[in-house]
Amino acid sequence: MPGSLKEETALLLEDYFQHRGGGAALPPSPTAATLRRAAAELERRERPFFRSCAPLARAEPREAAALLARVAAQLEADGGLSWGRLLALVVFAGTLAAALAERGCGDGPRCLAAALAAYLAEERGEWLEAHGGWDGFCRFFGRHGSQPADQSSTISNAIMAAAGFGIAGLAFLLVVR
Amino acid sequence: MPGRTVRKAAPPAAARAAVAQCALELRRIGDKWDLRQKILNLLMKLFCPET
Repeated sequence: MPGSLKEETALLLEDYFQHRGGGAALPPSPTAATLRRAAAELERRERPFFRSCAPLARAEPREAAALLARVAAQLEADGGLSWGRLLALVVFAGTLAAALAERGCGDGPRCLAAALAAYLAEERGEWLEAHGGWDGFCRFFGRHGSQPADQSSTISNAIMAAAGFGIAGLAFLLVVR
Repeated sequence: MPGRTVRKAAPPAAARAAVAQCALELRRIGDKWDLRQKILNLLMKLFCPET
């Protein structure tokens, strides 16, 4: 149902924007928690770029929403949408929302959340549905996904396994020579 | 004047360039993040299949 997808998307985005702006409320759902975590990790890793985007937000929320729509259209013009691109777009929208809020436009975050939710659920609703909706997002980013400690542990395990295979291979070559 | 109408309707060149640059960088970041997460998910599937 496009209506429910749009509502769910708007709620998730509003929650993320409020959290990004310093809101201390607990995430209302596991999906919201996953979005907060994945977006925070992406924003942390690419902070210089997102900081440089903040001045793009004008004082008027409708201008920022129009800018967001133009960026979204160009973003997916080459290669379509992916969960990574969607997350980058959400973090970009969060940057604009935070900049608007800082300039005293309290309605900015809600306006941007509504605009992005309409774009994602209406114009890109088929893609979202085909990829499992926000449950698909959770499956993609949720599993141990963006926790730095988990990632380093996974990568360490992979390196150890590769090293183990390498040593075993070398030993085998030495034995058969 | 037709030329004047076109100039008025089109967004300024600087704004268009900023949007294009922003979209390009977001695409690069998104693609990098997508690939990174796919590799992580694959590693998790290989080394922690029970989760």
